[in-house]
Amino acid sequence: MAERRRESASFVLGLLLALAGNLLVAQNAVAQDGSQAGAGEIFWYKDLNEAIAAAQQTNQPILVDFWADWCGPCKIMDAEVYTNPALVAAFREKMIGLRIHFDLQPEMVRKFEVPALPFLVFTNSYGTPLLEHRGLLEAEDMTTVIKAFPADLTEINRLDRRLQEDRNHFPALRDMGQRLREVGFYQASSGFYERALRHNDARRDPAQREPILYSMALNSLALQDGDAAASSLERCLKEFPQSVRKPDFLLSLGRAYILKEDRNRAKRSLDTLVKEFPRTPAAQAAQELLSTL
Amino acid sequence: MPGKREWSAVRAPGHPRRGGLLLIAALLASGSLQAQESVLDQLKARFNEDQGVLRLVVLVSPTCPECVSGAEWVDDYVMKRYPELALRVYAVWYEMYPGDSPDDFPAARRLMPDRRVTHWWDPSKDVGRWFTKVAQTNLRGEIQWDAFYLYGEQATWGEEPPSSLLTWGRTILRDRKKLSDEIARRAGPPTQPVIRLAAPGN
Repeated sequence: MAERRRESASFVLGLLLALAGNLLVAQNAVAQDGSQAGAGEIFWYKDLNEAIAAAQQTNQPILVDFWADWCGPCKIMDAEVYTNPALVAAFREKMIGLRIHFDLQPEMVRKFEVPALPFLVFTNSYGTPLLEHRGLLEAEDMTTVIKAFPADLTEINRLDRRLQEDRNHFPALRDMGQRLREVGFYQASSGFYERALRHNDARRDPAQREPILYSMALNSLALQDGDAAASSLERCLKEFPQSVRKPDFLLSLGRAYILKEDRNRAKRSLDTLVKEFPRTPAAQAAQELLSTL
Repeated sequence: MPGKREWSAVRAPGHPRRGGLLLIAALLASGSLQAQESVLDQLKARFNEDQGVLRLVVLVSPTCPECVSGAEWVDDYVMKRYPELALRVYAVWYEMYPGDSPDDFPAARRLMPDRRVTHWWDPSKDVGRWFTKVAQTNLRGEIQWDAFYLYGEQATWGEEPPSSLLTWGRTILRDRKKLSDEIARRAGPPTQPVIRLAAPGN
């Protein structure tokens, strides 16, 4: 009798172990598929190649989140940011998540040049960085960034693939700068424009160089970087003194100097514009700016 | 260097070591020998000079991850979001975390590059010691750190702690909402985003 009881106890134990094993397998299977993360949760891949494979299927962007157990702010992001319902909804609709442990994946830390934690990198579907943020990012701001991403990164991915085949492909560098600028990723846009400017096609051909340089200046203005904007615009005026865009150069230069809090130079640039191109829309905008100086 | 202030000490006449005094007087007159005011005194003086605007004292270690992130948060969520706000920030850095050193100060001050921020390195940690008197704290120890204190426009700092403490917090990140709520209450909604993705008319 006692032996029989022991047998049935062993049977029940075996059954329980088998069930637990099956549950574990099922859980891992779910974990392979980001779309099946629990309701109200973000699914995080742990491997870049897996995240890229998933992102490429849908042309979605990837958010790479670098973290560590010892990082207090990372825990705050876990508890207060990644649980925000609006953020989770936007994330699940648009992004592929990838979490990298700072101590366990040093090659990724090197690849993305992680300066400190938390560190967030928004990339295209191929893992090429488009936007970075160092430090804690509140849920509302992360949601804004996610919503600002184009629903489909097909064109940006296509250009990226072209650049992976030939990293100095001039039309791809130029078009990537333009496309990223259109969607508001000014820093990344200027990175591609800079590479395009170094290309021989741009060096040889002023018609190619001018719009790139001017777009870089506008990117700097959008980023409120008066120094970089003024530097690019001074170069535009020097290199393309006869350009039809000269009124725009002068107006933007006035804005750049206002950002730099250099009233005298701002005034000089705007006065020149009003004097040389009095009947242009740029001159009208300059008059308005001058009245505030 | 922002925040650097020096003063000269003059001893009363009639001291027996007259020759030494004369030498000191000559050196003082030439500006060769100057005693430096403590960081606490410099902070007090600057705080009182800036009366009329909001003032935020931030006490931080230069390498503690939570302090560094707290400083970055102040830069992102106060300075960048309110670029026109009449606010002065006094960031006082000192060694509190294992491995902290004065060599970390240059990198630390770059975490808050806004022109409204004045940075000090306080080797004595007197500022941290003084701020334990300001508010009831959960701190174990004699030196306050990873903390912020926001003062109103009328606050003055004498022998006693300034009267007009609007809000304070420790750690900076844990109590960050207290700071952002108080600033929003005084200055209204933020005028700039933390991450600039689009600008009107660009």
